[in-house]
Amino acid sequence: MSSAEKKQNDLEAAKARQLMLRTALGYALAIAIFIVLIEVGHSSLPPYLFPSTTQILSNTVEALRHDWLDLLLTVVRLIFALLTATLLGWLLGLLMGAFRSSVGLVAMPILSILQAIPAASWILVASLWIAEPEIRVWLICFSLGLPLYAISVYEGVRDLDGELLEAVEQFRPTKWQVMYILLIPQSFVYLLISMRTVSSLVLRVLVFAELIGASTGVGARMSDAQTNFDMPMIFAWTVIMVVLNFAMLWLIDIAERYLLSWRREVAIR
Amino acid sequence: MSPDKRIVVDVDNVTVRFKSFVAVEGLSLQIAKGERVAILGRTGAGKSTLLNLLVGNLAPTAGKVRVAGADPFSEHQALQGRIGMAFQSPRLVPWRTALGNVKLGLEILRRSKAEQDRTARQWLEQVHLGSAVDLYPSQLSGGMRQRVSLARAFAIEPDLILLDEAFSALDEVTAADLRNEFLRLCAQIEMTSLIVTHNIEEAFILADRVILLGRPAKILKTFVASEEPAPGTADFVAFRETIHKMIVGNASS
Ligand SMILES: Nc1ncnc2c1ncn2[C@@H]1O[C@H](COP(=O)(O)OP(=O)(O)O)[C@@H](O)[C@H]1O
Ligand SMILES: [Mg+2]
Repeated sequence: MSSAEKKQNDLEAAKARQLMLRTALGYALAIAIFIVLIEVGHSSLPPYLFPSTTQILSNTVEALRHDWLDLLLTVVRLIFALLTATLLGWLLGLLMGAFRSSVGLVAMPILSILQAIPAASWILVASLWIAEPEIRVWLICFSLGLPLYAISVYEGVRDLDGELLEAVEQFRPTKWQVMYILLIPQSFVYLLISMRTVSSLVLRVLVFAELIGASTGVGARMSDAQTNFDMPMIFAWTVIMVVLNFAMLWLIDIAERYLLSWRREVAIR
Repeated sequence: MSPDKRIVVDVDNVTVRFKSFVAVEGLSLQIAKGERVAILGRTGAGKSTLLNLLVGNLAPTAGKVRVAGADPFSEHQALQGRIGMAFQSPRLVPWRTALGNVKLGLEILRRSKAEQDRTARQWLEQVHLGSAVDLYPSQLSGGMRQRVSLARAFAIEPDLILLDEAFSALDEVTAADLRNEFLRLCAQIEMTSLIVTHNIEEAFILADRVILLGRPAKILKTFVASEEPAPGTADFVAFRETIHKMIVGNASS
């Protein structure tokens, strides 16, 4: 590496550090604002309607100590639903992209209609139809995630640069070779990128599905809290879910950084 | 089938139309085995279109294209491993390292892993990228990417190599180096080549025959390089001026 390039890299690293510092400050500020809002709410409403920050925190600790198994269960359900939706969504999207005029043509409208169905409909129908709560919760999350992944992968495959394809086709590859040289890696990029939004969405719907249709998991514990009018506990679980969401995004970020390191914009961020 | 086995490229009265726009009009061109032909012409003359016909990315609207006796478009697979092309832009696979990109053709030709690795490394050495084998395209400069793309085309040691302004984006030292390398290789494996360039001097350094292309692509004039002043000599300067005028002059017509 030349000294000019090294200088450039140092400059970029410094820029990245500064950006990270600014982001951290932004979050600190946001948390401070939330605390102030909570305290304002606490002092202007009856305490049973709006708990204080310390109450929320002590309830968070209690929830984690007492109901950690429910949290664990929610995490396991989330991972299983995401894994199955990711895997099948990827396969479906890839097939749609590889056989655009058959599989793509048929599957796309079906997925679009599935996507237009409100999550609430899935939750209600699944709760009435399916007796087994695990399958019920899984189906709700899966049916939400699958079309999102499939469509994103399909679009990724369709977006493949025609010039790049020509450059590969000069060597006369088989359809399968084009698949593993270009389509699969390209689809993988889109899969990773959509993972961020899809996982957050699935997590939120999962808790809702548990609230309606399960007796275990974070959603069920929130339902209990509502029945007992235990406002601090509702706030406590909310804090836990927000933290869980961030932890999940952080893991996805690490995966992205590692797997997409060839993309410069990801590498510097 | 080509009646003459020595003829590698046979373009016979070819016309290419994009909708109503005529890019190539009644072009005929034959290139014998081992011959090096350069094409000079203004931007938009249809030079890249001609190369796209030969590599098989494009079918002619009318006329006939044959490479080693086969139609590169409709008999695409028959020419596997026989044509290599470096495009005007590098067109590298972004998630593959320089090495992975050079291996591409060898992989498709199902060479052994060991041979893929050895050949690809050797070619990266040839284009002076021996220390960049593990870098991704996003980590390479434009000139380096173009050299990877050259190495990728050469690595399969094709019968016919097509270069689309492949040396244009390089600095003069690297370009001169690669030109010499290119000539050495052509001689060594009797490779046939068609070189598109806008550099008049380069055309006469690299080719046995230099073709001036008008717009739409049709042959204005053909030079036999050995019968003209050699590049680098005093006579060549004046000669280059004449050719330059011929290329530019065609634009106003
Ligand atoms: N796929 C295409 N569709 C429509 N027009 C094209 C296409 N490819 C090339 N052309 C047109 O054909 C002409 C010749 O293009 P090209 O062969 O790229 O020229 P050159 O390489 O000599 O600069 C240009 O005017 C270009 O706009
Ligand atoms: Mg061109």
